[in-house]
Amino acid sequence: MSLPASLSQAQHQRPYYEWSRGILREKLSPKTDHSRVQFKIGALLVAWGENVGIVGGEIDTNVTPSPGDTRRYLPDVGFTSFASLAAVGQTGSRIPEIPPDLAVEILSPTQDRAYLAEKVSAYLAAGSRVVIVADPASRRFAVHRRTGVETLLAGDVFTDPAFAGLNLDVTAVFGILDRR
Amino acid sequence: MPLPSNVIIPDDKPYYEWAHGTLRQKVSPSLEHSRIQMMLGALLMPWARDRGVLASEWDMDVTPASGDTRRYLPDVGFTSFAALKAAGQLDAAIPEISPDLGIEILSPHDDRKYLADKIAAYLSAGTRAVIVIDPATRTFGVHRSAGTEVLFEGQAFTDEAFPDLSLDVRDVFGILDRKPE
Repeated sequence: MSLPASLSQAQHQRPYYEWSRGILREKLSPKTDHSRVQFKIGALLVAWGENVGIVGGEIDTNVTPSPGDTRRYLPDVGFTSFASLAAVGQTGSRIPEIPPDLAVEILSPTQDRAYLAEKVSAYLAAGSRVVIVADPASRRFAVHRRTGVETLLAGDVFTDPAFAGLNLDVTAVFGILDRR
Repeated sequence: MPLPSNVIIPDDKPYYEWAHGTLRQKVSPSLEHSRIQMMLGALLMPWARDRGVLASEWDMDVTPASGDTRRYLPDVGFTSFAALKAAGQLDAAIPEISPDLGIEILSPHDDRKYLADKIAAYLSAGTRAVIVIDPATRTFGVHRSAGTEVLFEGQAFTDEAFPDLSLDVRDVFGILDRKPE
């Protein structure tokens, strides 16, 4: 299948397009798209979990993957149950000393992948049940658990026994980018 | 209007704003600030989804006066698809217009003078309304070119520029009352 004529040369003007499997797809705008996806996921988590825990974005969180190794992370979106906070005496803490039960990081084109991988490992080692890395470019979730990594594509839905009743539909999350 | 080419704003956290020739680190949101921010997303998303772009900490280049372009990241911003299209910014990673609706959530450490300057800049650049949300007093300060209005619990923000939008003050702050039993 040949490229469309509009892509015969390098693109110098927005919007940029990619071409795959016969489909022309507008290239994402990194800053705006990151923000839109972040807010969409946050809104979905609030709708699900506002009565059972704290949903926040960019919340300062102290994460301790091993004794003596405490780090300050700000997950793009995080959910921590009231039960988890109460269990460690952190209910009133302004900077929780535990990682979110569910952390979500949204990829940006300029993101340092090695740093992100280290952060995902630290969350899990410190007690996060799940870390979702949402990639607007490929419209995928990489779902990290201590047992391994699962990739969710459009049409898939994130669920986990640790978050009863939560359904994060990959298509619905990234669908916000198709609203124009 | 883009920022001057010699202004380099880091992509990574901490995020920065730029105004009056100065880079200023965006204050990391407190827990309450962040919970309200996400609650606003839940409340506004259904209204906004077919009307425009709704985002948090959204890099925007705001030009309140010719030659005075600033980089701001509203805590929450809404810009209609129509406004983005009219400005040729529909696909911009960093739109060069101000949001139609800007929302800033007060933190104890906010620089009130800087915030007042930012509100004035938004309004001069075309923003229809700026809501300043104060978790401490549970009030909204609604700033428009015509003046400022304070909304309390039991009231709701509405504006003819945003048809069918009703943002109930109590609904927004109610998230802070959700605590372990």
